[in-house]
Amino acid sequence: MKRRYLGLLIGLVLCGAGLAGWIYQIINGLAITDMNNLFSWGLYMGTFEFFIGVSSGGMLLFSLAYLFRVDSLKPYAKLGAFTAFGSVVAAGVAIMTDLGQPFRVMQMLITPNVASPLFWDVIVLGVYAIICLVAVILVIKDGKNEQAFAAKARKLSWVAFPFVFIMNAVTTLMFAVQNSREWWHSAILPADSMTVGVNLGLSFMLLVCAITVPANSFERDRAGFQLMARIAAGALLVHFAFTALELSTLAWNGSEESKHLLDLVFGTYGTLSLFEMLLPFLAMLALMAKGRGKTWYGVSGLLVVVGMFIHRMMLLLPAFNSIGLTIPVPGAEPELWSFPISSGFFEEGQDVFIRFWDYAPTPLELCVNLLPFGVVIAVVALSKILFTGNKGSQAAK
Amino acid sequence: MRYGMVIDLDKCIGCQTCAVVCKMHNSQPPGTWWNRVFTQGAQYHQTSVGSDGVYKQEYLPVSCQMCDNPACQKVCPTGATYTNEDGVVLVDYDRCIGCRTCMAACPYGVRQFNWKDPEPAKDALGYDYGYPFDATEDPKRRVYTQDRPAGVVEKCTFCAQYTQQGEKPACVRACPGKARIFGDLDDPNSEVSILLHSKQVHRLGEQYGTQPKVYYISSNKSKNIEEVSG
Repeated sequence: MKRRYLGLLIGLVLCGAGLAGWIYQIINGLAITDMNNLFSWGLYMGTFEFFIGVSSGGMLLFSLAYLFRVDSLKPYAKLGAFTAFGSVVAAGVAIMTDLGQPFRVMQMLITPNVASPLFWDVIVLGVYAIICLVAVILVIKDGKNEQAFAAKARKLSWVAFPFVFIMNAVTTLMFAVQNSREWWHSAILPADSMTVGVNLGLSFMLLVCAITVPANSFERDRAGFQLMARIAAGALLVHFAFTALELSTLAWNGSEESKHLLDLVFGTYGTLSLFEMLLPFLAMLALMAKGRGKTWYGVSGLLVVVGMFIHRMMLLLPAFNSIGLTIPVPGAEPELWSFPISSGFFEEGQDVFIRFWDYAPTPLELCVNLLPFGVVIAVVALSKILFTGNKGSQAAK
Repeated sequence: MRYGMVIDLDKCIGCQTCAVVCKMHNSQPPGTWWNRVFTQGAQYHQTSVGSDGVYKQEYLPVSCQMCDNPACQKVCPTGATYTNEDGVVLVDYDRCIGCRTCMAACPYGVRQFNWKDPEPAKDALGYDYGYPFDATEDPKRRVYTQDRPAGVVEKCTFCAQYTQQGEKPACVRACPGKARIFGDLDDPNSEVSILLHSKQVHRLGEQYGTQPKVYYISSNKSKNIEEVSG
């Protein structure tokens, strides 16, 4: 009995800690983070992008199962609906913690700027959250009557399936349109984000399913695991192809700005880049292997999840340390001179004007960031409590 | 009416007066600088740059470039950043949600965020300063206030509190070298328009397509050094 509620308890504790941290942040300002005027988005934004990808997996699973009638995925579709809902709420929470004035968020709807990609981001995210909520309500109301549920789920999937891809593309559009940031300014970025949504989302589902599905259910529904693993591996392959195209285009450019950016990616942040590539690559090979146990799939999923979290952070780290206003000064060292930015902080012994910031989240920032993770864990755990009964073996059925 | 500014780099002596008066008159919190002046290519301000016996010191003041195609305004989800009828790009402090997308979008790094409540920070340093009255624009847009709210973005307004009263921005009035010239770019007889048509000028970050309304009269200092050393 106690074990049954352990996940929910962990989730709620994380939520409580994160909420306390957020209240402290609201009182004291975003100065409690390691962000500044040069490095103005950090862990919160990375976590937002991460959970957007995570959320895709559950809804993809749900819509593949019912729209395309993939029977092997049906045992996991209901868990997918809850995971997708929890993750999209987590993404919303993460972005709320990043706002300087969170209580004014409705201003986006009161005085919207329709030219802003962020406005469309909010609209798409809102619609997607409603789709996930409807899916959850369907599971709760009609989950036990498979025939009635399948018919309604299929109708919902007509909308859910395209929105999985739209959401991933639109949430990175606000990066891709910014031509002063070479690291972001690419049409491949939103396209790649869709592949990340598929590989990260399904890998997260593999991880969740490996933890929550009992061994006897796994043996019976192994085909679903294998299909998820193969789709995730395929999406990883496309992600690697996009990454290679992006990096080779950047290297071919040969400008001082591009060289500086590549120095940041492979030099300053070389270790992170290595793990960003290596972990998902190993996972891709593992996911393609046949006849493995659920631990194998779970660990492979975990490798992708960790790798993709680093990938989301790497969207920010080189971008903010590559300053837009650079001036070539012959005779200077280096010749490409970047105009310093005032940090926004005045501390004794610290430079106010900076060109580089070695961003590392503060303990308080990490504490606030527990909130979105707590939300996902709590929602997934709650779904398990609601639908497993005491038998456990009916996990996702 | 389209306000713009011309900065004559040959007249700039890198004294930072413009940066300091900007900070004082606009009540900028500690660590916040709407206007910055640096020596191009130098690690430290007012140190020479060069090699092979040819050294130079060229200064570059940078504040909001008041773009005609402002990246910051286009990405702002709430319309807090807007261009008024005088062509000045402004931030409404009461509409900004502090998402900082504009900071990521601005190629010039001129946007500043209030990471914490500025008042205690000012009190801790034992001083307060700045024009004491709010500047507002219709409809109910607060574009300047001495008591800055925490969690909002701010930047140069061409001194909205002064230009509304027909005065020039503080940096223009304070510059000892008269390097800054301010006026209406749409008026062919204004000093800025005459300079734009008679001098070699350039704008920063042209490659970004932002179309700034701050122009720089290109420096001849390097040329002079070459003539002397040659």
